[in-house]
Amino acid sequence: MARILLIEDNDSVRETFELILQSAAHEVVSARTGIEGQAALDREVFDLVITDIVMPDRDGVEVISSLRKRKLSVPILAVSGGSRTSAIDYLEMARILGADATLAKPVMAQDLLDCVDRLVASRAG
Amino acid sequence: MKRMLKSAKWRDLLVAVIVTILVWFPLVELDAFEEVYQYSRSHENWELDEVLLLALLMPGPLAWYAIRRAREAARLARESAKMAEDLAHAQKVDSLGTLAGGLAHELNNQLQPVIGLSGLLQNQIPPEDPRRRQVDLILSGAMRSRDAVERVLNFVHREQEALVPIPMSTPMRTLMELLEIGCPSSVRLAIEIDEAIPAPNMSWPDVESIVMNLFSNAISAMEGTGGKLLVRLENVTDAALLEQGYVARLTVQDTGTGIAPGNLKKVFDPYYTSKDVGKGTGLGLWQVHRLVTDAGGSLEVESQLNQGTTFTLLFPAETPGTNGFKD
Repeated sequence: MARILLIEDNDSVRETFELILQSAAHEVVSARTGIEGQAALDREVFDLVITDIVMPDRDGVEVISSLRKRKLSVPILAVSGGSRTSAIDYLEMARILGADATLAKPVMAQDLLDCVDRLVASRAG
Repeated sequence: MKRMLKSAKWRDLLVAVIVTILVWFPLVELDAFEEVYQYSRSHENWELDEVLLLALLMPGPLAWYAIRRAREAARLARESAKMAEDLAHAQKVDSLGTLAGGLAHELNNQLQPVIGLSGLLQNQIPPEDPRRRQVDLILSGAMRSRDAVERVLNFVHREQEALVPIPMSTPMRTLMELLEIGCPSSVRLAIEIDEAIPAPNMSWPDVESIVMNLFSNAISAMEGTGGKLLVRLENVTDAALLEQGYVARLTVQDTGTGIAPGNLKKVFDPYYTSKDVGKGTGLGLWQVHRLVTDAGGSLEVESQLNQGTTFTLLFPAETPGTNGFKD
């Protein structure tokens, strides 16, 4: 069981991820925007951050680079539904800026849980 | 004058005149057209012997000149029609790409609850339960929709890569805006991008991968110490480089730790890395080298320990006709 910060602006996607993660007994703290997410990171400690790469505001990219700048070692999983939908590959960029793993939406429940387990285990190990 | 002679039109006209003179002179000197001469003499009132001779000779070179000009004009018209057609098609594909991209993003988000939660339900309902079949059908339908979105994106990407040579300046600006966000505050980032850089001889994802790898390495080299990072994309103006087909120069210069002289030759080798175990694969610069050289470009690295490193990349233009874009 891990404590996870989930940053996702789309309501139904956020609730979906919450349900999937909770089904595996993870504790989820949700944020709607990058700013809310940053505030949660200032307040609490997490085992993992899952963030959408919110394209209009580039929130996700900011969250990742801000975590890296602050040298927080928490693993980051970047998720986007916009991968390969424009000239810039946001997931590739998230990886280079410091995301430990990336997943393209729509994600299968088991793939999400496997990825979360792997990232949390890598931190514990 | 030199410039005039470089133009095909003036060159053709000059050749036509020279040919006329060259043919006319010996004929007049040798009295070769005796009969014409006699004929013109018998019609004293004409007094046009040389003029007539010239007039008889003129149509040949002039016709040759006219045919050359007509062919040239036809070729230009064909090329311009083809270019207009290509441009219109490229614009159509580009609009289609934007539309498909927006729609795909929306659909991927909307499909997330269907795919995510039906997968979750599958785990909760035992296989013998009749409701399990219902959930299986929901999931397989949603997965087929996801595949359809993927197919449309693949198609549009293939068309875009084949048809829309992207001039480097515009996407580079967007890329740099994003990298600016990812740049640590201890690093001063200077971005200089020239206007109207032609399309490179490689797909945009390849250019993006090159820039991001160099950017990421530069940031790593300044980790802890901070420094200055210059990213400059400029038009090549050096005649010797233009002659070799290079049109754009990308410079990525940092003031980081630098590379030891002994390692400088090895930086493009696969698996060479200066990063700690687990932090780098060592494939970044090898990949950059491969992409640049595959596209006919060239790259150089200069470095001094504790002073910094400069990567200079030269890109050739997209080749007309072959369109140079790879899958």
